Amino acid sequence: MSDRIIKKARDTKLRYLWIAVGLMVLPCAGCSTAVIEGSASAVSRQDGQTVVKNQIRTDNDRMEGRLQITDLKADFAGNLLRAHVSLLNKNNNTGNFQFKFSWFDENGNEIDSDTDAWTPLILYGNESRSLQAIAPAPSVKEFKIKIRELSME
Amino acid sequence: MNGLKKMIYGLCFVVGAGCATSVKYEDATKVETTTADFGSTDLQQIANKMVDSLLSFPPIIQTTTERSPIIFVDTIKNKTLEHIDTESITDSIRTKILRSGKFRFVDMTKVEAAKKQFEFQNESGMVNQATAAAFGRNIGAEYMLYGNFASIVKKSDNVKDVYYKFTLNLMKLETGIIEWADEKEIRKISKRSLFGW
Repeated sequence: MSDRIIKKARDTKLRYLWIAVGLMVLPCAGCSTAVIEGSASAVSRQDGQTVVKNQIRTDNDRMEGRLQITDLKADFAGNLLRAHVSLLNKNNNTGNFQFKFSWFDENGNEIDSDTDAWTPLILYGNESRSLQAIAPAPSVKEFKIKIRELSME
Repeated sequence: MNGLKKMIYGLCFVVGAGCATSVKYEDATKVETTTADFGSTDLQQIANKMVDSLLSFPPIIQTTTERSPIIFVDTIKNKTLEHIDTESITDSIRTKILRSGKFRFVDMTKVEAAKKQFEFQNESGMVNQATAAAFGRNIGAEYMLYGNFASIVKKSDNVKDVYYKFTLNLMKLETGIIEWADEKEIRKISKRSLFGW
């Protein structure tokens, strides 16, 4: 009889423990968003149309294994800077990325910040893709592209 | 046991407290995927694609090298099943094109209001005529921007598949020739899962 009472008490305790663990885990289940970001910049001037500065910077080791910026170019469409970016998904799996351009004048000041939005980009396994964008104003002489992958959102 | 019960009640209170309404600012440029319906990311994608395409089209580059032609924006026909403010899309497109300095715009929706102001300035006798805007000096638009917005929606029990197609055309009014056109396609799928949120 006493064994049964002890067993029942132990089972109830275990049940309460599981509920407690469940309640602790539940609020965190939807929040595991991993954001990784890479950025690159290039400068092109109207005299000669050559890329003066070309930097590729990756903040995150995981991003380096997932995505590669294979080429960065800038030229002019009329007097507006045009950005060309070539990307390669280094992974066999489809990647859900987002990219955003930002634009700078010759003094490095950002032009029309927050006018370009994050744009979704799907890259299938080992797929390469070229992106193009036009600067919002003639004063733009430099662009940056930020690419990130959201593992869960 | 009592301690455990208190812990459970405490956790229930904490979890319950987390469900209260809260307001926070969000990044307006962030990708928005609340539902498969038309959203801010779609609007931004369409505006960016259309402006980039127009301003990098070689004949348009040639036309806008020496001068800034005038455009008037006609309506975008909403052929989707949703109520979408297409004027908001053309507003974004117009703002971006205007800021590039390549084109100028006339606003046909404000003709009546402008006419009233003209009449007030020229006919009311209250305005110094040396400063009044003169009649007949408006500049005629050279191009018309117009388009269509269509969608195909397919649904099953748990899946909704939405395909949007936005088409924009630039017509030269004098000749009737469509000098530029482009379209942006967007496809979104929403799935209802049994668990998770």
